[in-house]
Amino acid sequence: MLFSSMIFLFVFLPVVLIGYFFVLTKITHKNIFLLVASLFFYAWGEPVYVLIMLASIFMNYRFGVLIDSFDQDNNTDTRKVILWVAVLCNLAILFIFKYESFVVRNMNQVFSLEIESMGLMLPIGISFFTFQAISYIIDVYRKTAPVQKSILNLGLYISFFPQLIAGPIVRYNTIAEQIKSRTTNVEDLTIGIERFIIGLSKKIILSNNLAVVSEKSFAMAGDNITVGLAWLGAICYSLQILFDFSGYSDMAIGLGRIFGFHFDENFNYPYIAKSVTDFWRRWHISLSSWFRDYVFIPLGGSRVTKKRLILNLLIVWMLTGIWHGAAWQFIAWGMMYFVILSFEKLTGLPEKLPNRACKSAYRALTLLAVMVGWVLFGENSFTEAIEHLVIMLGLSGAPLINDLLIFEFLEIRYLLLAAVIASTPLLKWVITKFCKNGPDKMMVFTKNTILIGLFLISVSYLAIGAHNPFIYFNF
Amino acid sequence: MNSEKSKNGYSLIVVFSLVVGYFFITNIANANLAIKNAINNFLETDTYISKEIILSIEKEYNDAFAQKNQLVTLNGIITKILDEKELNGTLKLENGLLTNSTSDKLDMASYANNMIELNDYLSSKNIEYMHFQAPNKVPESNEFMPRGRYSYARENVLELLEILNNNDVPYIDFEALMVEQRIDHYNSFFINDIHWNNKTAFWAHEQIVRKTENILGSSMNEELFDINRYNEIIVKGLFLGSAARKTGRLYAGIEDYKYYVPDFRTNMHIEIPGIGLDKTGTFQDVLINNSIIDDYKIFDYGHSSFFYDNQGYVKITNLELNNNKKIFLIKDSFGINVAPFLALHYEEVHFVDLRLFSNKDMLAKLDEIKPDIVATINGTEMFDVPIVFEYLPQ
Repeated sequence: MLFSSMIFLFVFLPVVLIGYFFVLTKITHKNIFLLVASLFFYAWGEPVYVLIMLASIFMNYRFGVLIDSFDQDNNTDTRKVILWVAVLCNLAILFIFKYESFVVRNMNQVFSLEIESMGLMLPIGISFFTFQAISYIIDVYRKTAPVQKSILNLGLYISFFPQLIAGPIVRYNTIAEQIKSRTTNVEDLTIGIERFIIGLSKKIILSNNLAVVSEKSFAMAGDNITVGLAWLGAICYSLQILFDFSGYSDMAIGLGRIFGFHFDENFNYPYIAKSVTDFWRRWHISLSSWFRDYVFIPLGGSRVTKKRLILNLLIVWMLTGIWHGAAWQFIAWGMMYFVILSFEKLTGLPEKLPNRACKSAYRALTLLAVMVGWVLFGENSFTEAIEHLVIMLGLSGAPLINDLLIFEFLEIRYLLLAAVIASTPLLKWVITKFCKNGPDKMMVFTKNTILIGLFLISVSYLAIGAHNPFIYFNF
Repeated sequence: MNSEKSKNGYSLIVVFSLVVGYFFITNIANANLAIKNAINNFLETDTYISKEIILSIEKEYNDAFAQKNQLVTLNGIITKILDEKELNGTLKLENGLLTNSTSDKLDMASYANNMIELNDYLSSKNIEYMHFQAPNKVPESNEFMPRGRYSYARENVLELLEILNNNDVPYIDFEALMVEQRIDHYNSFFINDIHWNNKTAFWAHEQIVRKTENILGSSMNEELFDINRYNEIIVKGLFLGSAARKTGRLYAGIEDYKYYVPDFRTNMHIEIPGIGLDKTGTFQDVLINNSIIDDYKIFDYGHSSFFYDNQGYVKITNLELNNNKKIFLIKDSFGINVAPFLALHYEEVHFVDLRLFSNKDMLAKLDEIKPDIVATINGTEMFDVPIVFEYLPQ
């Protein structure tokens, strides 16, 4: 089920809210109710694959308990073996469903084999819930989080519907205590609703409309497309993916808050980043910190030889690329970041820039690099991505502009402007500036009216059946 | 201070709950129905709960959403504010008229071949065949198309007709006739709908009858082509058209609905088995769906509803005529407002819509009716609906 659907907004959500706030009182009952609702939410999109979710819950519950039981005997080696088995089991599930076809296809091509792929459909959100499960197992192993003795509670952690299909990747130790005991006060509800509406609006009003242009541009690469449309497509896709992903994260954080859970932030205005390193501190924070804590640091982190550092970065960015999808373009995308981040780490250039002009220029270059990355990421294949970039560079002989570009630009101009503004902290800055002493009644009224207006406009796009892509199928 | 903060917080919670609660409660019946239908489908198809069944529940729920029309209107306002020309599959032309989003260039050979095969099949049964090609709302010149948009509809038509011509399949190219007779293109259509209006449909019927003169022979009555012999009825302030229903009244504007009924004695009989209609009376009483004019609800109907909408099979008998001439139309929505006028010339008019009626059943009907002529009539929009051109079972 998608958050951006009528059935979620006006059937699932009200039923869950009524059950949670008006029917149940005990936290245990509320947790069981949320678990059942989450499994139903997942089954709605993937009726059969809910069994994988259940298997993951059961498997990780048993591994957690097992690691903890050996803790009492202080048997480090056995614990390590169980940890590795648990991680490999989780990765095996991910491999079978996400990477098997890709590996078989490439093996067949390289070695001229005829191995038949299982051709399984990718269960939605498998990368997210698998990474959550792995973080739980590792945290229990590292003793940074207590083992969860209730399979129902662990099930809720792994399958909790707000962050199930598009993150953020919530660490077990972030919400371990909240699963046991939490309350929702008026502030939680208000902030939760606010974040949810903002996220929904980002997704439906901005991202979905920008997608119309970016998809057209990506579909036309190499076929009658002008340099201008190639650029417009890349810009629209860069904003589309930002508002799609951060919109989902806002909705997840908002829904979590409504139910009393406090998730960490996942985005922090990534397009104002000073450098690519800074960009990855602001973009999909839960994923980059996951790789930092569970891969990069265990490999030795930055405090190693230069050679080792490069190897560590190569591993992390290869994995980051592959995590986003089983295709060469994602690997290329990961490798692009490996090269840039290695350069930044080894030269320390972003910190050494002497003046404002240089810093601004580097900021612009960062944005350009990110946009090039999104073309690699968003195009239909690696070859088409290269074709798109060649057109953007004006090397294909395509004309600069044509009437189609003008039409598409005029269609999207106001939303594009809104998206550019919303991708910066400008609005936040204005609000802070005018509400130094906290918002007055009028401000609150205006804000709430705007929020409800945005909600109704978002729903109106759903009602007309407007374009509503789901870009997490690869994840 | 704290109580003030709580009040501020409560206001958003209350309003949000009211909005979501209102949509939830007013659509409970809709959700129930969607689920019930899905369960029935599930039991009928004897399959496991698949993604398709779930998607069907979502689609049914969305389609029947109680506030859908109001939300469509709201969306139309937003689109108007944003000065967008394209919304929900419709395109606003520079002259303010709405049409469907642009047509792509298609390969018409398979459709033409199907028509040629149908022609051969009917020839073997000594039945005449003819194709009537309705015009696209956007003319060949693409006049009034927004800059950067181009419609290939006419190019598709010309490709189709060229193949028919090379294979001696007779046809009427209505757009060419309109140019020849200097008929204003855009005035021939509804403002907010892709279809030709009822006056153009009246004109089209004359072209069809003249083209099939050899069948009607001496029974052809020229006087029936005189529009002055018909009453023009105007229903003010009606909101019509598939395009307008997708964009809302404030984006598209409201249009008056004009239709024509004979100002002379008529006695017709209509049978529509699909909706259990079997009625005898005057042209206006029988061929016009008067109930929706009496109780017209904005958004509920398109112009085709005035003629009982698209139906699988319809039979009209002119009880005043006894020329024993029968025409059989394989039509889309462009045929709906033409067929009633044809019934003034042909004793029996039969029409099927292959989107709602199988080609196998259609052939059985042809064997049973033995018409003098079979004609296909469709708009260019149907080039995206291959089933409409699958006349003979494979």
